[in-house]
Parts: sequence; C-alpha cells; structure tokens
Amino acid sequence: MSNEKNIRIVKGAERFQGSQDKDESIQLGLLSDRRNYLEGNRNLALNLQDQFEFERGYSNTYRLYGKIDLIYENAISGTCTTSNTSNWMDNMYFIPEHIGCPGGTPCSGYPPSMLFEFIPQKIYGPVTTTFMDITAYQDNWVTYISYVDSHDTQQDMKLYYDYTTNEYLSFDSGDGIPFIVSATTLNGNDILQFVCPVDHGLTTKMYFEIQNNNTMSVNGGVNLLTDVTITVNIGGFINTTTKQIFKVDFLGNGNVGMDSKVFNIIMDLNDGMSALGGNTYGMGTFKRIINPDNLAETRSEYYVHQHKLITKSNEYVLDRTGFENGIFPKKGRVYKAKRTPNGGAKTVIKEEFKSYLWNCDKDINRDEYYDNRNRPITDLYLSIFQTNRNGVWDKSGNRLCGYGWNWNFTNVGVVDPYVSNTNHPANLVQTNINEGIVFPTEGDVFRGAFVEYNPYELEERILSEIGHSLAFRQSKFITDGSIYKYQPHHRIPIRKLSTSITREMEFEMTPQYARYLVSEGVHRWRTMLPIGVYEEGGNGVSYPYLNDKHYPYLGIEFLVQPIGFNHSGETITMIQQFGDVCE
Amino acid sequence: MSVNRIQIKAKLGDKNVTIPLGQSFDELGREDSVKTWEIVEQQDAINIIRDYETTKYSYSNSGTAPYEYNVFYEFNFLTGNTYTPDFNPQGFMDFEMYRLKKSFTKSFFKFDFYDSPLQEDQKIMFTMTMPLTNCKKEKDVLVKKFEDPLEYWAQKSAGCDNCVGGNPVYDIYWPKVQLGPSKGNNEGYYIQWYKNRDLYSGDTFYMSCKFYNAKTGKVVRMLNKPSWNLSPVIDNPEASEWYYYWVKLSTNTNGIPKYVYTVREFDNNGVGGEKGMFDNPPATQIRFYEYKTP
Repeated sequence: MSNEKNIRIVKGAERFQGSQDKDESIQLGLLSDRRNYLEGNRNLALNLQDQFEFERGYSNTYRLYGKIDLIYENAISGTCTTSNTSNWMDNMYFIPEHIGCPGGTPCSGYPPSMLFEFIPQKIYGPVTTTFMDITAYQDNWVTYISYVDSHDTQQDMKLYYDYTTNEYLSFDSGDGIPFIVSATTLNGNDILQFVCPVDHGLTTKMYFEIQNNNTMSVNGGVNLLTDVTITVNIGGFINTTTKQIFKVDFLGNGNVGMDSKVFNIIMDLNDGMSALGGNTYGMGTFKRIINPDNLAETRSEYYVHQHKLITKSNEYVLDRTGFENGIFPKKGRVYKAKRTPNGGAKTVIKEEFKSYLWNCDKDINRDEYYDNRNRPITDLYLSIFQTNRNGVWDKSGNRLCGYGWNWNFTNVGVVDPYVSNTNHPANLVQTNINEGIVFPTEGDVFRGAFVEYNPYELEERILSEIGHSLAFRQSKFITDGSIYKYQPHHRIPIRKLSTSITREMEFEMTPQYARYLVSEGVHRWRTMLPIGVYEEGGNGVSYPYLNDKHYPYLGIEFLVQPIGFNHSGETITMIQQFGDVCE
Repeated sequence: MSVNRIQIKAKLGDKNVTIPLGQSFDELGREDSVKTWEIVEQQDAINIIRDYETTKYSYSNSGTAPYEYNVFYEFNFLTGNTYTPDFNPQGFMDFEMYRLKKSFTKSFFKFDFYDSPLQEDQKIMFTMTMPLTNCKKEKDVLVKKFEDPLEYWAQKSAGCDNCVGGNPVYDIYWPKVQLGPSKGNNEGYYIQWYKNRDLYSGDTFYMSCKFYNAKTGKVVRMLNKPSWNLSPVIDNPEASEWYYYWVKLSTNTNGIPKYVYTVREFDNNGVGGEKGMFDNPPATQIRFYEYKTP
C-alpha cells in the first residue's frame, strides 16, 4: 500500500499529559488448510457413491471381455484334390449341389463353415491330426491383448495405379499419404486433382507439402510428382518458381462422399502436366501442414503402429453364445450317399453366423504401459490371428499370412501382389503345415494401422487399419487365387484424451507426455479424461467397475472378406457396407 | 507538549514488515499418516474390496486320444444285493427312458463339494448338478410289447430291421457318463470357482454325490465304494471314508487349459489314485454306489 500523506507516530507516554506507554500489536491473518490433529476427535462422513468414485478413479487394473460376431461370405470355391475318404473331402460343400461329387476326386465345392468358425466341431481340413475338444477354440483363431508400443516410419508400402500395366508407387510409411494426381480441367479451371486411398484430413484452410524423398519410386509409365514449377509471365518477363507447399483450393470431384478422398489446387494445365513429365497423371505422397510458416512444429508425421502382445495364448477364455442366431440365415445341405465320393450321406453347413464370448484372463495394469507417444495407454487391442491347425491355408516359407492396408485389398478383380505372404509376411510362423502356427507369445510385435500424427494438434488419426491375407493351399484346394482378408487388431478404448489442448508455462506443472512448442513458448498436452466424464460429442469412456477392476467391453463384427477375381462387386460391396455400418 | 516527532515520508511501493515466526513442528508426515489411516478405516467400514471373479476349471486328464480332458462317471444302483449300472432299480422303465418322460428328465445327480471330509466341521462350498440326459444312451434292450406297444409294433410293421431274435430293440440311457469340453456334453463338466485364492485360500474339495429321483421323490445317497452293509465285517462306517472323492483345483500357468481340476480316490488312508480318466478299465472311472440303509 502506498500513499502520499505524512504519517506521524507518537509514543504513548507523549501523546498527552499523564498518558503512558503501552504495547501495540499487529494482527496477522495466517491462512491454513490443515485440520488439527486431535486424537479421538476425527469425523468423516461416509458416502458410498463418493467411495465408489474414489476407488474407481484409483484403480488401474483392467479385465477385458466382449463378444465376437463372426461375419463372412464363403464365396471362394475350388477343386478339392485330396482322397475321397479325407476329412477335407468329407466336409466339402459340393457344387453343383444337386449332383454332388459321386465320381470322386477331384471334386468342386466350397469349404465348410467350420473354416471360419472360432470353435470348429472337428478336424475338417487336409491334416491328419486328432481333434481335441479342449483346444478346438484355437484350431482356427487365437486372440491376444496388445497395445501400441512403438511405431515405424520405414514400413515399405505400395500403391498401384494400374495392375495390368504394373504401374505403382513404392514409398515408406514416413513419406506421408500416397495419392494419384491428374492434371485436368474442371468447371473451366485448370487443376491438379489429388485422389487418396485414405481420408486426406485436409480442409480448404490447410496446406500440404508434396514429398521428394529417396525412399519413393515409381514403376511403369507413371510419373513421380515431387514438386511443381510455376511459370508466371509478368509484362513479358518470365518468372519461374518451384514449389512443394500448396494451399488446398477445394475438395472433392463432384461425386458424393469424395470430399474426404479428393483435394484440388488450381494451376495452369501446362505447369501441372510439366510437373508430371508431360503426362496427365502421376503419383506421389504428401504431408499435411497446419502452418506453412512453422513447418517443424505443424507438419504431420506418418507411421505404422507396432503392437506388442501383453498376454499369452492361454490367457483367454472363449465360449459359444447361447440362444443367439446370426444376422444372416444359416445355409447348408444334406448330400445323400449316392452324391458323395465315399458313399456316405452327409450334412454340410456352408455358412452359419455364430457369436462367441471372449474373456481375457489376465489382469492388465495400465500403469505398466506407455504408448508410442510416451503417453499412458488410452487403447488396448483385441488381436486375432489365424492359426491354421487344419492346414487349409498356404504358408510361404514359414510364414502364414500376408499383410496390407485398405488400398491393398480393393475389390477390383485382382489380388494385390503386395499382400501375399511371400512378399510381405506377417509375424506368424508356421514351420509344420500339419501343426498350425507357433503361437506368438507375450512381447511379440505385430504391425498395425497406418497413422498420421500432427505435433501441433497433438493427436493421431487412423488412416487405414492393417489387414491380413489368407490364400488357400493350392496343393489341396485349387482356386482362382482369390484370398480372404481379416482385420487383426480391434481397438478397446480404456481412456480418452480431451478434445481441447491444455497449455502451461511451467515445466513442473506438466505431465511427462507434454510437448514444448518453441514458437509459442508453452508446454501443451491433451488431458486424460477421468472415467465417466464425457466431453461434448460423446468423447469419454465409462464401463463397469467391480472387484477393484475395470471391465471394458468390446463387441466386434469380425469380418472375413473375400478379395479376388470372380466375386461380384455388388456382393462384396454389400458386405463392406455392412461392416462399415456396424463399426 | 514535548513529543518526539517521527516523520515517515511515504514512497511509491509497498512496505514490508518482516516478522520472524519461530516454528518447531514435530508433525512431519503425521497428517499424511492420518489421511492414510482414514482411507483404511473407511475401506474397512463400508466397502471391503474382494475379488469375486470366477472362471471355469476343466478336468485335467492324462488319458489318451480322443478322450483327453474327458471325464468318466459310473453310477451303480442295487438290485437286491447286487450293484448294476442301471436305472431300472430306481423304478424307471425302459420306455420312460427311451421316450424321455419327465420323471426321468427331471431327475438328476447332485454333487456337493465340501471343504473337509469331517462331517462335524465341514462346510459345503458349492454344488453342481448333472441331468440324466448327460448319461450315455447306448444300452440295447428289447422293446417290451406291453410296456411300449407303439414302438414294438412300429418296428415290427417296418420290417424289424434292427430286431434281435425277432424282437424289436432300442437304446436307452444307463448311468454311465462321459463329459467333455465340447458342445453338448459339458453340463457338469466345468467347475466354476475363484481365479485367485484371496477370498478363499483352499484349493481342495471333497465331492459327494446324491441322486434325486423325480419319479419316487426320494433322494438316494451315493457312496464311493460298495456299501459296508453288504459286508457283515464292517459295522462302523465313517463318513470321511465312504462318501467322498478328492478334488483339487490348480493353475497351469503356461498350459492349455490354464485352470484345471483333478479327481482322486479318498478314504481313511488318505488320497489315492487318479480317477475319471478312462472309460475302460472300469476301475479308472469315478464310480458311485447306492447307499444301502442299515
């Protein structure tokens, strides 16, 4: 406090005659939030709801469970070449149905529904092993719990422009989002139109940077777009500038739903074609940018998740659901004895859509795991892998499945060579065709989704989930080469990050995963929302809490999808749409 | 008035008075300790956290293919002084079993699991029931014309393809059971019990059996060996010797299945050999015998 007035201090004895000195005191107000420690006099109001909230917030242990609805289309037929008395032949759904296969091997048909089921009732494949009830739940599939432990920016990828002319782009995951670009004219404007196989994530206020890295290359006649040279004629003076960073001018190509896949920039057609080596089309990759003046802190990073398993193969329980019928009708047929090669009548189920209850047997302590961005994990994953104990699927070398991303599994009547287990084998080892895979174990690492991370937005965006491919063993079942695809990793949200970003100047006040933004001089992070707290838009999680454990539930539609040569686009589109709706 | 004039010229800016406060706290951490004590007391008072999570325990079996992990039971009833694995002594007629009459399908075996074989201080921990339709339907019997004339004449008029000596036959249930993890014959196979031992540390139980007869309304107590009343030598039976099989739950950390139980003989001599692994020889089954009232 300050003032401009004079203050006189007069001693007590000198104020007036007869007055005396006396002590003066100053009252100091000391605030304290401590309660007195009085033994025997400590009261606390007990409240069950508060106690529940306290314990729930304190617990970090998770028990995961859920339901798997199996959805597939048993669409790939072939020729069974095993003996007339083999299990494989005996379980084959013969075609034409009204004739069967009285003449014996080779017989045309479809595999039985047991090929897809999680708990087959017997040995149905070309192996000669003995069926065991107790392990049947792992004869086709095995499940684990995993989390994203790290990421890989050097995962090689391939996007085909044309399968018949073998034109494609090779790139690494760190190069960004691939595109097919064309120089064209739309509504009187010369444009470069970029078509992406995944959502580009751009708006018309954003910028993107065309990449020019030595990890990118093209094959065939397609050209690689690495930059664009703009030529400007100013009063007869020709000025050229080479650019890699552009602002998006508009989205889409006029078709419904394509705004998220297509973006355009307006430029002279000659400049565009020149950048494409004189062609009207080319390929390349780009990275999304928030602020072109601050590339280092606002340019997106791209990578592939690396999942680490945190359970063993015996740490889950799988049961059939009772009283639940599949969404599609069951299809099967009774073959009379005269229509089978071994002279025995049989009933074969071709399609039946069963559901299963899964239950992770291991208590998972969230405190023990940090994700690839050094954050406490927010997602766990139910990871499902094919086990091939019936010896139906082809193993190349010692690897069972191939892998790829959405653009590698498009329904264009061709199987992308990228996804074969010879070219890109998943981490599933099978040394003996009669014994199934060597079960992965705790700590094993598998590839996951293709992801964008923007350091300014502080969040990841899933561009494409990974898929595994399964090809039939041609020595036992001759097909046209069509394959099946399934998604191995299924996300179980256990916590959510806030949609808003928290800022703090002092380092001591920040969590360990906060990022320091040099341009603004602040630490920034997204707060982890407490359980049961939701932000606008439904961002948040809530799940049962009992036994001092959290019980998040995951119900999935496990889609096994045919990809290949002779399947009608209509049918496959239907099943894709179904999957999209349910997800 | 003579006064000592002291003049303080105010300046811009705050004035500070430093007051030294001597402190000698000895409560370092005591507040925290009290807080912890509060939480503990609160926990004890209103919400003791216990883990009630259960899982299914499969029968652990050293049998051979295709019967690994299958468990075999046999139940014997008295006809006079002779034990036979047959439901007829319990009043069920063949056609009632063949036609699944309610008196048959509503009957069941009930297994009680105790923490101790000593009746004076034992507690029942859990029970399991097994319907009679879990039994094998493989006993060939002649169709009796006056018991089941419909079936008798139906087979006769159809050409009697399956007749024996000109008499129609059919399969009926008999009290032999094979349970496994597969669909259809697993009711009574799995034991549901706690995953960990925090709530109850015991992992050994003593299994007894009773037969609930829905036709007669009687409960028949079963023994683990033929009744002593058939032998005049033994006249002082002890419950711990006659009623129980020894069941132990265990965890197989790396194996499949992970949670298993084993069944062994039990009597006054203690725990005996493993039971239930095979159908043959019969001695390897889990066998129960009707208790004959003295």
